Amino acid sequence: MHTDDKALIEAFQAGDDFAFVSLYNRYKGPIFTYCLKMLLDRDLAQDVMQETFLRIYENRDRLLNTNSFRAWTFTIARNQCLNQFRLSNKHVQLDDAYAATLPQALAQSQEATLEKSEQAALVNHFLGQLKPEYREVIVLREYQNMTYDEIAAVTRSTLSSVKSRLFKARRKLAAFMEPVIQRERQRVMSPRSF
Amino acid sequence: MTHLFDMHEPEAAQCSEAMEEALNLYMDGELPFEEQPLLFVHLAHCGQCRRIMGAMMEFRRMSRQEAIPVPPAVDDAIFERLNQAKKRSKRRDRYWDRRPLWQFRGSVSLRAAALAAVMLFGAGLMFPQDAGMPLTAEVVSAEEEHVQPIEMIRTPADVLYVFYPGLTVEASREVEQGVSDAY
Repeated sequence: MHTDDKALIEAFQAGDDFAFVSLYNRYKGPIFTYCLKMLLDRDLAQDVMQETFLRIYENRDRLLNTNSFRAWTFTIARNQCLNQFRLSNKHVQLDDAYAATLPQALAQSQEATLEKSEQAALVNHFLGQLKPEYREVIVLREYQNMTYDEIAAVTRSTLSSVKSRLFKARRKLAAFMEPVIQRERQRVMSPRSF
Repeated sequence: MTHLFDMHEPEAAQCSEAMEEALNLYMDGELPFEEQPLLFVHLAHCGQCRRIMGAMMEFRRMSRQEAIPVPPAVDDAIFERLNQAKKRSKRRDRYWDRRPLWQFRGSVSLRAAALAAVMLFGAGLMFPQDAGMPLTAEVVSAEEEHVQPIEMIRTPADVLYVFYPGLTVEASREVEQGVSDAY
């Protein structure tokens, strides 16, 4: 949280629209990243991000503690993402979609190391294989660098629940990644076939 | 401190929960410094934990390679939607202003005030006070008995005005003469 976030939030709650624009500029990146990595769909992420900031604007009176603005913002974004999951049963569809893009990403890479876009595709593929309750803790920890307490505040759960889910999510991620890492290692070690 | 792990644990065996927690805490920078050597010793013996740690470090490296800019079109779309929302809320405010008086929403609504008045009236009907003799009757009779003229103003005209407390009496000069004689 920025040092002057508190003043901005108080001004925003008092009806200052310029303060809201400043807060939007500070938080739009993290919120968009969170939505994108949760939904793994750029268009949906944009819609959810819009809805999130609209709700922040409309429900500013409900924020009682200005120190928890970040957690409050991410909680709203999380609820919007979960609504999307409920509406479209997205996690099932995404699994299929990213399962299809993974071989393509790997096949296109003829270099020893993957290109950045291919790495992003791989990351999305791994995230898509996780259930939403596991994915959210990984995204909040790895992309937003949140502490366990902050993740618990955002996901409205206990500290022990956050730790448990995070550890399980990492174990699953490692299981998903291991074959890919092995394949990459073999590709690096072996001479090119063409 | 609890024993985090067994030094002679076979590589293929499942690590304890405490060990897994220590590994995760270390990856998140939360493991106390004095507990780290125990974890390193465990990692030297446990291939499973090494693989988890290696995979997570690789995931972290790959995830941080990706730049995720917010499309500029999103900014315009959001502010457009905000403007629409503000216009809607203003229209809604004017609609509330146009509502009939009995539906007015104030700090205390008219309906609540009217209900309170009706309840008070009902309570008055159910528990009437014993009126008895009017309190003023005695006073009035006393005034009638003890009324005294306090001032008489003589006027040059034929008509005399006599002032009593709260009472004006018009009389002719002959009557005034009679009253003077009586005193």
